[in-house]
Amino acid sequence: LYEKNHYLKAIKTCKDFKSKYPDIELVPEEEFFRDAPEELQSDPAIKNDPHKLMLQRLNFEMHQRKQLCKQRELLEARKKMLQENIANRKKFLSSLPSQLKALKKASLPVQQHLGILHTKRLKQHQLADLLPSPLYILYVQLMSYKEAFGEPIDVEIIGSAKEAQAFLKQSTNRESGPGSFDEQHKADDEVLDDDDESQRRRKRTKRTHDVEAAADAGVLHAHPLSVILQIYDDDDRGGEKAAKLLTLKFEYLPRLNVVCAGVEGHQDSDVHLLANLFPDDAGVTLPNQAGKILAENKLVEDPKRTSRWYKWAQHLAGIDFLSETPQYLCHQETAEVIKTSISSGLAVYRQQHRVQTVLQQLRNRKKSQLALKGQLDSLEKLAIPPLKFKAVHWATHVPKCLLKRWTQASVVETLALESEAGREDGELPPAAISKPASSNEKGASSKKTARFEAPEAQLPAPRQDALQPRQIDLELSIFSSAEFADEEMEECEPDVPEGKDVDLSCSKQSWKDYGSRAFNAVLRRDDDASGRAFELEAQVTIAMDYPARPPLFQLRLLSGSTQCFHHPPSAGVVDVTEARIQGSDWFNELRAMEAKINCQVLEKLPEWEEDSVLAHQMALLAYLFDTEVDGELASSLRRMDSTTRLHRGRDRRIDLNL
Amino acid sequence: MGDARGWRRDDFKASVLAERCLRTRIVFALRFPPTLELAPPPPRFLAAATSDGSVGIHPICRSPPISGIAETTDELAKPWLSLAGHDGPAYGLLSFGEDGNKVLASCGDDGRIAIWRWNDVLQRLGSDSSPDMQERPVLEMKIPQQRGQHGSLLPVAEANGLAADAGTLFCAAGDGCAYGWDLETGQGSMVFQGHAGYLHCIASRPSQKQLITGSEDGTCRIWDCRSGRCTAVLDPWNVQRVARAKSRLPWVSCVAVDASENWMACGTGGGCVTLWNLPMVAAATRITTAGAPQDVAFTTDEIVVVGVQPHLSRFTFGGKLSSQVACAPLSSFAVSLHPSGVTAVGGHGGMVDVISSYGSHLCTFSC
Repeated sequence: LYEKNHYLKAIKTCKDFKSKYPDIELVPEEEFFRDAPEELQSDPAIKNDPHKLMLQRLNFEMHQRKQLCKQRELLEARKKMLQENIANRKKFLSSLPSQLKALKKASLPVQQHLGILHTKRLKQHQLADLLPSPLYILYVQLMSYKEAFGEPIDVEIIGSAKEAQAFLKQSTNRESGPGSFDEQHKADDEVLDDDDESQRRRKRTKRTHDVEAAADAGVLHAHPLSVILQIYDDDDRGGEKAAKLLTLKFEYLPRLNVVCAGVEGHQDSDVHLLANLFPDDAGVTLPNQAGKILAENKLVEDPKRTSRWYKWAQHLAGIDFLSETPQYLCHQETAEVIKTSISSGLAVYRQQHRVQTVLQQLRNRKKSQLALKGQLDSLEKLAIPPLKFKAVHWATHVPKCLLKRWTQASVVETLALESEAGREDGELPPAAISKPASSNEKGASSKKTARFEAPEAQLPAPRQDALQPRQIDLELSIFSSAEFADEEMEECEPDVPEGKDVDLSCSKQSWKDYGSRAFNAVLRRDDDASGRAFELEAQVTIAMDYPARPPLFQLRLLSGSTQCFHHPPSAGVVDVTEARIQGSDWFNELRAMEAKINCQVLEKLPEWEEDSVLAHQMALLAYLFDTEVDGELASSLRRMDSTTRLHRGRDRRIDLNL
Repeated sequence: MGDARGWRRDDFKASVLAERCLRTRIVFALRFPPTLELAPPPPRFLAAATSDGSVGIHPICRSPPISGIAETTDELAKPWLSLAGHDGPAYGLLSFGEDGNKVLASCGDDGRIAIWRWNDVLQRLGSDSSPDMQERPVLEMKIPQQRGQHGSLLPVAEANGLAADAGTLFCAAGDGCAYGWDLETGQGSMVFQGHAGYLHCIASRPSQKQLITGSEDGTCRIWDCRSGRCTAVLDPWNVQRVARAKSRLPWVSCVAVDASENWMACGTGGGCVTLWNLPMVAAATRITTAGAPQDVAFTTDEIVVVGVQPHLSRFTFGGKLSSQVACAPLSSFAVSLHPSGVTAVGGHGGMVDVISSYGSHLCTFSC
């Protein structure tokens, strides 16, 4: 039994034997019979013997798996290959941009050569989006003017885009409420003839916010971006690249809401080049009232600051029609109104040819300054510059006198603040000027030597406006105190209060003289026959708006008195002698000469000769001086003859029939 | 003229030029309107003749003197009424005639003499007519043109000064002659010929039917109006009566006769004023002035002189400087006295300075 049990147990274990891989998933029988190769099925016993079948099936399974393994390897290899491939391509791709960049860079010279500044322009356009609206208008208008009319100018934006972006962000962050956003959005959606309209809109909101918000920023802090304008000579020179005339830089001061213009790379002579491009535009005072109030106390004129807020710059930037109302406060209708006002403003802008006008003015200014410089250089060498225009008779006159001296007297700097001191005694109305000086002026006058004597120097007072006002007045006081110190009690009239109406007179008068220069010229004529010598001094004031405002000549006779041949008679009757005023000789004659030089010469000159008006004036001065001296010499030699009259009228003017 | 917006360069140039020309303008003559009373109130306006040929009536504004000066000199004072002007400078003005029928005469570089009735002018001033409209003169006369060697016409002689006695208007002309016109007919009646240079000035002495002229040749001549003959030749520079000028003399720029018609003052370009006793035809006083005198006038006991100096000087008949008042023009060509004591001075710069009897400036303007 035990044995039996043992066998039974053994049998049971055998029966229970499980293969090492009990659950090898085998291909089902039907499949085996379908797919298995012939040699495995060939055994006839296979169908009867499940064991054999099993073995065969296992064999088949092994075979199949081996095959699959092989396949996998294959695939893996392929995958690797592909991956490599991909990596390669990736590498290529990643290197592509830099290569493109290099290509771009390499192409730049070509672009430049061909005149297609594509890349630059793109960059510029991006920058333009960041420009504050006034500069944007300026930029766009200049750009379009350039493209439309082929104007030889270049417009460029410089500055850091990052800062500008920061600036923009800073200001947009301040924009509160959905109103402004809607506004922008709406504006963006508008279909406008001018695609920059929306831009401007957005910028404007920004700007107005800036004005009120940027309290901490310096008033004179400029927007990071600025526009550079290069102007070329517009004379045709047969394809050759035109000479660069001047470079301007426009800046925007967001707090003051003004656009400043300055000359880039200027020399000393160019400092005032842009001043008085148009009347009353010295660029010293702020163009808008709000700015004046804002900057009232902080505004210290920096002499090093070359860019100024000229009015024309504001006009060019369209600030005059950009409304100041904050956008986000507006309802839709008012916004609509503003929009139309802007577009109508732009229409007017175009109608007024502002860009054209300003460019023309700038070009003219520079050219005439160059012409002027040439003439001044020639005069410095003591030669009257040659005249191209010969149709006037002073041009063909060979002067008998010679230019003895030509010196720059003093650069007239009439900054608003500076003139405050000079005005006290300088800007008196002409009628008051000729009154006896008050005592304090007299004190000052004693120090001053009379460089100009009496009436010759005084006369300019009404005409000369701000030019050396102090000096004239002082000289006057010398004269008046010397002349009738005891007569002063006759004057019931009190002197004009000093410093009265300070700003008014200053702003009224000084713009014309802003940046003007003064020169002293001495003409000398020696007459061998009579041994007399005549010297004529001319003070020439050249304003910035030369030649539209031609140089002003003020004359004075230094020597060669008229009266020397009139010997006073021996006293027979009561003879009272008053002290003679020096320099009263030739007074009327000199004034008549001045009138001819300062006014009449201009009517005789053609438009194209305008730039050399100084040369003409000098030539005319020499001619008139010669004529006067000739007349003087002739009349002192022979008796007056009524048939050959030299003088005419009560002021004894010499009729020259210019 | 606009700025960058609608810029008109030519306008700007023209305005600069106009401003310049304004500064070179000269007032050659001033006259106050006639008065009937003996002690009249200060005048409200005056007539001015300027170097641009215009003759206009200008208001004397009595605003506070100082601000008045400051404001009016800054801009051109527009005349209330502009009378028809001359071509070229207008050199002389004269107010004359019987009471109630006073007339204003002007003369100028074009050799024309125009006469207006003060009554018409005053009437026009009273009405609201536009000041731009010009008043036509009631009478016009022309200096006859002289003929040259071959019968050709010489240039038109300018008329430098005017004088009148009852019924006759005299004019100092640029051809060296003085001409007389009968005012009844407007016909030229007399020519006074003899000066060697052109005439600067003229004055009449109606009581003796005499005419006094001053010339570029440096002499004064006294003429008899009835005969047209020269009765005396005076040399003011050397203060003597001469037969004819021997050497070259400084021109005689101005001459005036006082109200009593016993005294005559004349100024010469050399810088002296001489006072002559007319009945004796002898010089009394010679005053050397600081600048060349250009106009003289008489008050009852003083000689008022203006010239190439920025003041108005008053001298006694004895030659003593009694007062000197600074005035706006730096060189004055015209001085006019009003019975009320108001004095007007005009000259270079187109400036007119009206000075009260006390020496204060009533108003200053340029025209």
